[in-house]
Amino acid sequence: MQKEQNHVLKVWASRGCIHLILLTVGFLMLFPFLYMLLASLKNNQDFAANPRRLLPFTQLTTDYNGAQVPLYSFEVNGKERDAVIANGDKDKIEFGYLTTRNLLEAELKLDSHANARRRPEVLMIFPLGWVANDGTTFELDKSPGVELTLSQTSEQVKLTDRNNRTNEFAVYGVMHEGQPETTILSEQNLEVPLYVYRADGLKSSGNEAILVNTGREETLLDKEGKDRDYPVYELRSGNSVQELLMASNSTMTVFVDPKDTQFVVYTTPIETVKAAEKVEFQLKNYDTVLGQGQEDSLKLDRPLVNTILVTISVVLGQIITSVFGGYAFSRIEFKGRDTLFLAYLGSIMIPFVVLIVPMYKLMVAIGWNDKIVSLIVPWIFSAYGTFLMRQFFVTFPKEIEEAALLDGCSRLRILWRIFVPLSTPVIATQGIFTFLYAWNSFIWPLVIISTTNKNDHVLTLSLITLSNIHADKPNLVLTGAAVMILPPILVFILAQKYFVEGITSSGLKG
Amino acid sequence: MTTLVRSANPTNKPTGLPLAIPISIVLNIITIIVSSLLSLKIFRLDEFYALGNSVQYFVGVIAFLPAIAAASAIFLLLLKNPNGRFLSLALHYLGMVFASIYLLHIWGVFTGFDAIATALYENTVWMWGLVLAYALYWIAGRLEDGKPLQNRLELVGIGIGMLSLICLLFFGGILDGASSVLGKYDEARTWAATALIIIFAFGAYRMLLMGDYFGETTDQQIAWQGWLMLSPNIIGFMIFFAGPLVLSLYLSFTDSVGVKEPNFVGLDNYGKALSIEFKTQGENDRYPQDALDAGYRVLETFRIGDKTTVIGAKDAYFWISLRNTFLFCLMLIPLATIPALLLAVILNSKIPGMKIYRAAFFLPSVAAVVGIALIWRIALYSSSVGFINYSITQVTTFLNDTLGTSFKDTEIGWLSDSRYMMFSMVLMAAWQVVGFNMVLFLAGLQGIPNDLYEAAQVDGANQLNQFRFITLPQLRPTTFFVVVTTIINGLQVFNEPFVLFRGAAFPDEVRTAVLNLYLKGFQDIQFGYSSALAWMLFAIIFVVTLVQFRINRDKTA
Repeated sequence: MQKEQNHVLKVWASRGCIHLILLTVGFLMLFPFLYMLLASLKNNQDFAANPRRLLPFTQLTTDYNGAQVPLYSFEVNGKERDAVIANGDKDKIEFGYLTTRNLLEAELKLDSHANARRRPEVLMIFPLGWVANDGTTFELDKSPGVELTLSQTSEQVKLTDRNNRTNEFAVYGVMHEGQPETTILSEQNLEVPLYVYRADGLKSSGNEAILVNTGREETLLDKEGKDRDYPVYELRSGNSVQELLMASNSTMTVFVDPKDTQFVVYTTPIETVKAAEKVEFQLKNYDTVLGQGQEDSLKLDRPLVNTILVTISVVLGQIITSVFGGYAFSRIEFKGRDTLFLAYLGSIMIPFVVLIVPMYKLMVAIGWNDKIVSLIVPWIFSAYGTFLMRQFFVTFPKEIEEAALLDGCSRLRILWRIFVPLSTPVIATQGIFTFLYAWNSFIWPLVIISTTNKNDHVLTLSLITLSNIHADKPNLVLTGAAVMILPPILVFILAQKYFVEGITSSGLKG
Repeated sequence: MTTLVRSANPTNKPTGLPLAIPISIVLNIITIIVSSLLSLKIFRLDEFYALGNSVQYFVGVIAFLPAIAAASAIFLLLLKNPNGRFLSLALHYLGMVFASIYLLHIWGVFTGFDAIATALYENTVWMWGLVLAYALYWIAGRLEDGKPLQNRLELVGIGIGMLSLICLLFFGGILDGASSVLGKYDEARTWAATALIIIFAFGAYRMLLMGDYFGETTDQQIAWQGWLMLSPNIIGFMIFFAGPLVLSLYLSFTDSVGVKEPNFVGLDNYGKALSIEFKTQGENDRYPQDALDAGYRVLETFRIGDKTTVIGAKDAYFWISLRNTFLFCLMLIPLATIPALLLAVILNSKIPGMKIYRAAFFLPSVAAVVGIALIWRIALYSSSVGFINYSITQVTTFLNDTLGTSFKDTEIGWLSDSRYMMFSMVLMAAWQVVGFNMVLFLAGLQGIPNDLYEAAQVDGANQLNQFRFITLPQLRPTTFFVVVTTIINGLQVFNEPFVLFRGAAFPDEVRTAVLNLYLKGFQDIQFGYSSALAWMLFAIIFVVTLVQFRINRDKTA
């Protein structure tokens, strides 16, 4: 009993293992297709999203001040909150980096390559304007002579401009080389630190300082060796006066909660903000790639029609010539037939690359270059298809034919009434392989159809052009790839058994 | 078999000189005139499509062959020789075929495919109608026979199909097409071609009925039926295979470049490609290049002891491309066969869901290489956003975080780092072909008789031993076939490097033989040299195929 159970367990374990292996391989085989399909349903912005993800996302929008605007998501105190870019005069605030002249000069002399990621030795990051918690705008007049009072409390810093408008900021100490050197001021409850200044700039006397834009400018050589003007500010604190230069200034984007405009978030750069998203499959790309008459259409519809026309013509043509040829080679005995068949068989061995230059010359000579006909007519004669048909027809018993001939049936009638209906599987096999060959062919269209002649392009060719021109829109390129790859996959799924039969019969006999 | 088709009306025995003979003689005279005129015209052309005088005269002579044949046919006909009849039949038939091709050419049918595509493009709606009609017809075929619903569905399908077709033809401009064809009849040559077709067809038909007059045997009757059925193939074979093949061989002995008339240069092209020299870098040679003769470029240098040997080649690209191609095949063989074999063995053990797995593994081989390569380039191989590098980052981060290891996460440039380019190409190609090979192996496995395994089980052989001593030896023909196919296809690899590395210029590391000859032929417009390269590649493929035949024969003998 115990033994039996063990055995069953063992069988199940080994089966599980095998399925695991097969599933992994299956996943690896299908992953690129899955990726292509999902990417074709993405928008361009989503495609480049980091971290990488498979499902297509769309940014949510919301109604804000009477318009649909994109929604972003912030994590504040461990909670997700949605916000939109504040519009009007609130949407951006400016701020500047203030530093001493010596520090700035040292900074500018540094090798820009080695220190590409180094933060500048900032003395103070200073707001030139902001939105306060209560929603009021707090604007610093940048014009010369305007004074701003900075006063330090135990945990907060008060900033007051000359109009006596005051705002409070939290103070965070930052250790630099073991010393509490830098302090970050931030508005309360905000993720993004807003202001930085070196504590020693204020420490010297009491806890009040005044910052004044002197209106002067100093010229220093910047990293590219060009002159640049830096506005000069004065930090007055008690009796000491320190001159500071504005190393650079920048803007921050202001986000507000559309339902509760009191909630304000600042951030820079804007690319770091996470968009509020939902999964959405967009068929828009297919419209862009195939759409007729659309302005931004990539016009793959014409190549698609061309490819369909070429493929159907080649498949039909090849089946007809192969059936006739195969019948003659297998059922009609005449002198020289077998020699001819050998020559025919030998021609399968010769690779197409040998013929590519003379075929091109031939097409030019008869005026077929750059014409769709060059993709069809030379390809409807197939030694391989003839061979396949012959191998199948040879297996038919001789009596069928003889009886029919005695009844006065013509050869054509025998072929059409007896052989063709009985050979549907092999005809289907050949048709499917020809379909794949014609649909996927690349080097011949590349040679014979010029890149400028867009009307005669087939899909493979257009896709190459497309991938070059629209390299920045990989989602559209992959949509094009999907348009090309999906029809063969569909045919494969519908006619799987012919594929397998075809490969096994052709493969092992050849 | 002795009963002939025509024995039903034996009274139709002609007496005297039947009408068919003079008709045929007239037709043969027409053939002589047309053929001679054509030949003369070709000979007198100033310029023959930038192919040179040799080709011009060759084609001219070929154009004159029907004239000779027709002359002898007249002679034989007058002698009442059956061969005269066959020759005339063949000539009339060919005359009809070529007159038809010429008429279609005048009508603009061949170049008209562009117009057909445009018509289809502008009337996609009706194409959907055809699809719908087919779908209905297909569904009707699946239904139970004889039900009224089936008949109705079939009728509706046919109706929609007809309607769509008529609309497609009408809106697609069949009237314009017809009027354009009719418009061609203001030229004499259109009338001439049409008339030629009719009289050739008539003549051939009359001659066909002359079997008894010439004492036709059953074998002969069967023979012409065979030739007739083969004729489309043979004509296509001659025009689109044999002709170009000869032309290719000829071009490979010329310096054909674009529109200039080529000169015969003998084996120069082959010589240029194969020229290679080994030199030792002397003390006076500052660079390896200095050691080489004029016209040679450095291919490779290596040191043995304190001497540096320099290998130089006249066309370094030829050798580089050959090396790349061989390297590609060498790496592709194990990657494309071993996983295929293992998967086939697993799938052959009658596990549930086998068909689904097989379909999934096979899927990559039905998709176009162009599309596949684009997906891999964008989704997998991109060094910054590709999934392979992303997975590596994830795994290394995970390992470093959990195990405290310090693996370095380097961004591998799959398509930009010369060390990985070839491998990237091989990996993708192997991924694509593995399912195909697996199906071949599966077929091979199913051909192994089961009693072998049963006997082995009785002897107590375990699964591994069964695989080693039964499966592998029994699969040898299949394995051999798979490897040879992989090599032959690998030697012709073009799409993979072309799409994966398409940019300003193809890196040397991925310049395969076919890519090289494509670039030489259609970028540098060196048709002659490119043809020579193609023939050399063919020679290599030929050797591989020959080896396959040899070994196959040895085994069966």
